[in-house]
Amino acid sequence: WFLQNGCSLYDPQTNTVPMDNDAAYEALQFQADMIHKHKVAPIPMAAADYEGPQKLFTAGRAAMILTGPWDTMPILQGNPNLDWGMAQALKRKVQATSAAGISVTIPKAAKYPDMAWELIKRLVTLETEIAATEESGMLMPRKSWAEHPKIQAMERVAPFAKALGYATFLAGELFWTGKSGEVSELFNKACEHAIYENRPASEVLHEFVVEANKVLQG
Amino acid sequence: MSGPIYGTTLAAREPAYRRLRIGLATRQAAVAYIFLAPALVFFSIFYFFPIGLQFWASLRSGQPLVGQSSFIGLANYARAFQDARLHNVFWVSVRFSLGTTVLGTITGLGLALLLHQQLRGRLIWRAVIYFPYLTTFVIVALMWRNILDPYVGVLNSVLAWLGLPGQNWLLSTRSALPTIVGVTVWHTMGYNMVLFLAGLQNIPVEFYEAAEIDGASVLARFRHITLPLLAPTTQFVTIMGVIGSLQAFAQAYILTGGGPAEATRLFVFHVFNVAFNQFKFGYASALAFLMFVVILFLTAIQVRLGGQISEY
Repeated sequence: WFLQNGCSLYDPQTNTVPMDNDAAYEALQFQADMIHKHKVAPIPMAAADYEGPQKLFTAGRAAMILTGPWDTMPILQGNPNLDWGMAQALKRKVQATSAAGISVTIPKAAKYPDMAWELIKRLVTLETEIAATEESGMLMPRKSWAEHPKIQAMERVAPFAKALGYATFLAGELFWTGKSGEVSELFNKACEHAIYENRPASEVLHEFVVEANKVLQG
Repeated sequence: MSGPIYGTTLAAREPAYRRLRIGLATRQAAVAYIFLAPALVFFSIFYFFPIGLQFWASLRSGQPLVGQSSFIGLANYARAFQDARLHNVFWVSVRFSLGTTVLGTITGLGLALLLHQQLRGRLIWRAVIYFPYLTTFVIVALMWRNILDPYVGVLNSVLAWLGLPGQNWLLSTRSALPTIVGVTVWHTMGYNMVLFLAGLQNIPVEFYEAAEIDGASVLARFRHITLPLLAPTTQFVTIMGVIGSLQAFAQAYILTGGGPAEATRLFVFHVFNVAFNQFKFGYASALAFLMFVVILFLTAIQVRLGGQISEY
């Protein structure tokens, strides 16, 4: 919701969190209102791992869920007769969705950095990535992968491949500050105050921005 | 001096006897230390050394233990006392510890009293109640997370069948902490029950018989015989309860993620996040060492108080 309303978690120009504004309030309030005001969404579980939305959807008790490719196989296996499809991400100011994944790095003190680099290059070739997708349904962050005919032909992968064009990271360059962990925790706490306690989004986001900026500046 | 010992005076014999006693005492001590050596080595490697290393890390900034760091003295400890978020986390842990220790002791004692009676099938009941304690808490937490799910969980389904409203067990800032206290008590009550059963079995039956002859009621026998003679067991149960509950982690990690809105952010879970999410290993080490000191202090108080009460 934040991304679709043009918000981001970090502004590298000012080294601050630019979320104390109407767009951010609207996005978070919308999520809380779906639960408490319109009562069309359940309160989410806050835990290390949770397949609740997928289970509700697979059981036919939820009409729509927002999720990623990891839920495709569990839905297909959990209810093979379920008549369902995938749609592209929603749009408010911009069409956007959250990107996430893993990365591979070469440590500074690596013993064989050249060999590590060779391995990475082999892992991220188009052929390897397509093979991995065919094997496990994994998505790849490569435009040529998204446009490849084999990927376009995969019914349950092609919609996600199309989303690669507008997927983005909410945290952006926050990772490079070395303080993304602490700021993310404060962000989660603010969102939980709005979602679980139904506190006004403007109030919790203002508190979050004040605390987060202290962390970034300090 | 030469000659048989029996022909000499006491004063003359004494130095020889003292040398013999010292030699024997030293040898006995040496034998004792040899037998203690494996345990001392084990505790040194896996307890004393890590504690020392952790204290060293707590005096440094950056990434001690895993990367570059610099000495900053007690700055991490000063920061801990000024950290408002940490204060909230600490009070959450204190409330959790109080709840689990008190309720765990009461339920353990209650179950022990009940299953100490000559009831049919009591051995089976003892095994059933003890069984959860044998299961690792991770499995217990995963199971309870499903049971407590407000939408697909068994508990709310049963409540609905009984005509009662379902609850947001882990999804409400008011009920989340009591709920994880309840899950923890469920997991540990079997262990406490076994300890109290052992204590009850050590109370001579004659005391109860004499009290019954004197006309003492059930409540009076419990209050004046059972409780006082169970004092050492109760002390042990509460000490272990406090130590275990202040070190609780899986409850927050598996059941609630520390939420909602940090309502169940237990101290060790917070330290884990400071270390592995925020990468502040020095500060996390200081927090962990502070908890070590707190637990040591509380245990010392409990032992001192318990020693006075246990004298019967």
